[in-house]
Amino acid sequence: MTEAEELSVALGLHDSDAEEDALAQDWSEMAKLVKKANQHALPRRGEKDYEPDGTDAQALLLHTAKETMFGTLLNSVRGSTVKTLIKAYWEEEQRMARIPNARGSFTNTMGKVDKHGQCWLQLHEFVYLVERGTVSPYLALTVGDEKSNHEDVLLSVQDVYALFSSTEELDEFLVYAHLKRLGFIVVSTDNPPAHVTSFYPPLSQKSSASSNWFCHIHSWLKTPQNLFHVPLYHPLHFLLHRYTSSPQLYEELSQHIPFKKVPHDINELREERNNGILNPNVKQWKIAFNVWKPKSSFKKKTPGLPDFQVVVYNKDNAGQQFPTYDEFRSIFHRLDYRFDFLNELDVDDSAWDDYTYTDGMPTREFMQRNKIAPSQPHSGGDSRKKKARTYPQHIAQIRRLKSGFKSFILSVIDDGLVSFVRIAESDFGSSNIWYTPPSQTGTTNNRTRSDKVDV
Amino acid sequence: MAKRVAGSKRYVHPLPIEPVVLPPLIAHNPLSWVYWVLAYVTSSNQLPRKIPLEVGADGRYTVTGREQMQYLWEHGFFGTGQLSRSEPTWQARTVDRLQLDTEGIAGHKLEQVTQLRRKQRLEFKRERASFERKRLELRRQGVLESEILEQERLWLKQLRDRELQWEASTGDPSPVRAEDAEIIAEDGASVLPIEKLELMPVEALFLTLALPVLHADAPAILARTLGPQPALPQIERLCRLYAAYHHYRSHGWCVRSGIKFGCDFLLYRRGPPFHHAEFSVMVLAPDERHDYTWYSTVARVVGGAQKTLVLAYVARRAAADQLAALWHARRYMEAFALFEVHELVYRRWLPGKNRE
Repeated sequence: MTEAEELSVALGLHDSDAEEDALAQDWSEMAKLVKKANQHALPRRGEKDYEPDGTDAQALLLHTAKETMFGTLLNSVRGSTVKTLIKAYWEEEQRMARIPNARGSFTNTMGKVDKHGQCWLQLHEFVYLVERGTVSPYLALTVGDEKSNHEDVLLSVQDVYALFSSTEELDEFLVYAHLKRLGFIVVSTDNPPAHVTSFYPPLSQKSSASSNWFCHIHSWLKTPQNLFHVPLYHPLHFLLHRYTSSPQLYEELSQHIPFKKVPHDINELREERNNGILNPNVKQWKIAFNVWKPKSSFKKKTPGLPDFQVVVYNKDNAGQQFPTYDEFRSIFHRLDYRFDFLNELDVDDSAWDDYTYTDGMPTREFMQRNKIAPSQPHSGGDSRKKKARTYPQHIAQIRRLKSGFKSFILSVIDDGLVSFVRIAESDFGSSNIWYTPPSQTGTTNNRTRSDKVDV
Repeated sequence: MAKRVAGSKRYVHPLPIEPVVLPPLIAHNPLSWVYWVLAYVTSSNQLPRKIPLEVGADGRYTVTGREQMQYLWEHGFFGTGQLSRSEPTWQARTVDRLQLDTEGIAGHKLEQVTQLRRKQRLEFKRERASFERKRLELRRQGVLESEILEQERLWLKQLRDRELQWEASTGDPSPVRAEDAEIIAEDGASVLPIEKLELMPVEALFLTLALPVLHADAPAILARTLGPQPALPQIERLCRLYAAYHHYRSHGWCVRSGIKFGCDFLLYRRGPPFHHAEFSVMVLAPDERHDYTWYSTVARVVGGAQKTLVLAYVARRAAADQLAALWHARRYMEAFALFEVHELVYRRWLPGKNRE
């Protein structure tokens, strides 16, 4: 391996999740930005003192910094105009909030509209919008049986928070609000859309048991071979065998320890879903949210497959412990999102329509029947993305191992702070990174073998 | 001791068993068939003499002898030199330091470089602390901030100048110390071979059972590691470690101890001289769990060193009785084969980097 290649390994692999997100804000610059209001970039902070040194100079610096920070917050224009005020009424009975006539861009991704044209918000959506100041919270009071006799009781933010009935609900809200504020489209799995899309075909179309039979016969046929096999650790082994290359040795070594092969492609994914036998006694972690990357073409009723799925875990909750492997397995088994490792589907949205099922029928058929325009291939800026960077094979292999296959996001709550961990199934057993000395046999054949990638 | 050899020449064989080289077989030349058969029959993959493994009183597995240590290092990077960072270079380094070798070898100075850098870093920290004190003093005196900044710049420049000067002037420090008398051999031209190559228990097992290159007795190794009457959980833990080790080795990874980064194993492509380790492996049982702090701590340490954390869950596929039976019958490889490796990749997820 040349140095240039090594350099490319270093550059190619360490790009994504580097720890460079720790940017503190310098509020004195921020104060200037608020006035300009058009700029969005935050400047880097200056040098930091490690401890108070008791001098006036330091105290003054600190004071001015604090002053500008609070000043920025206080002096910017706050509140909402009466004209755009949206009232949301909390209905205790349904545990939902009702907006009589909803308007605003939040309706693109939140709430459900009933046949009377009223928009119904889930509790977490309601609290999130109240916190943002988008809607004003009111308590729906029914005097007597007369529905019409509403008295508007304005709620405070504290009142709204008091509506959470359990820690789990509050934890889910924290994650929801966090991702929402970062621009993601987040939909709770408790509140499925009108038309659910799945990657897996409906159960009636489940492939028959014949494939199972085939597997049995297949493994049966393989046995005779093993009868004459003298294992590597047997004393006679080296009398009977001659290895003329290292790959042969590796081949032999890899016979001993079995490994779990995880699904790599569409067929394997579907097969695992159908045939996977899971321990029913294992705790079933709830997949709390489906998350989409920000996109303008999002449709509330037919959102399609999410980009990520999120499981919420509160570290401080004595009732919850970090998942064991079996619990992870059960989560992986239930995942149903846009599997980003499927190369053949990575191109655009419309390709996914051919492989997914909505309301139990192929998505394309569903769309034709309901006269929905097919998903548009990403336009404009995204065309650049289609020409995804291609890497040399050995780098692509490592990248694949690092990102794994099926994955989900575990959001960990620690004292109200949310952090995210991506857990992915990986598979070191299916790809070999044998090194074969090039000079030894002089054939190029060997070299290609060592580069063999099963991704 | 060989001079500095290019890595691709020196580390030709990735495993301690070298493949045999058979002569070309030419179809129309019967003589070549005879020659080929002869070569096939007489050749063998086995080492002419197995490498003796010593088990110390402290339960450490060591290999002595310069050739043997070098052989294990060059054929798959097994073991760690007890007096070195990883490759057993103590002998060469010491000879070099004491200038016993007239040829004067360069290239075994890795540890020296590390030492020098540490010294420089320490020096810098001392300088910085003294400047911090000075700045505090200035502030107390009510000197303007801009002036202090000016001073700081001046100080940094001075520091840089001095560093450059120092780099130019540093020669070799005086070679011989008082305690060196004990390690110089009688003839005065070499040092006593006191360094040993230490193997992890799983490495010793791998080199005894899977690839028979060590002259050692597996039951004795195990008795030393686990005690004479090991409990089943102990046996299982060792099996898990071994299964994971063998699994990664057999797929071409160079597996070394991960103690430096608080995990069980480190995975290198090809080996430490060629690449940094890319993965850190933590071996776990499927029903094992820790509190979140444990996972996040490991992931932080590993992530800080630009490696990916792999949670290798090694599951037992058969009943515990079967494992115990195989173990007592000393059919260790079959016992290890009862375990299956499952892998998860644990990685921090940054929302901002996954938005588009």
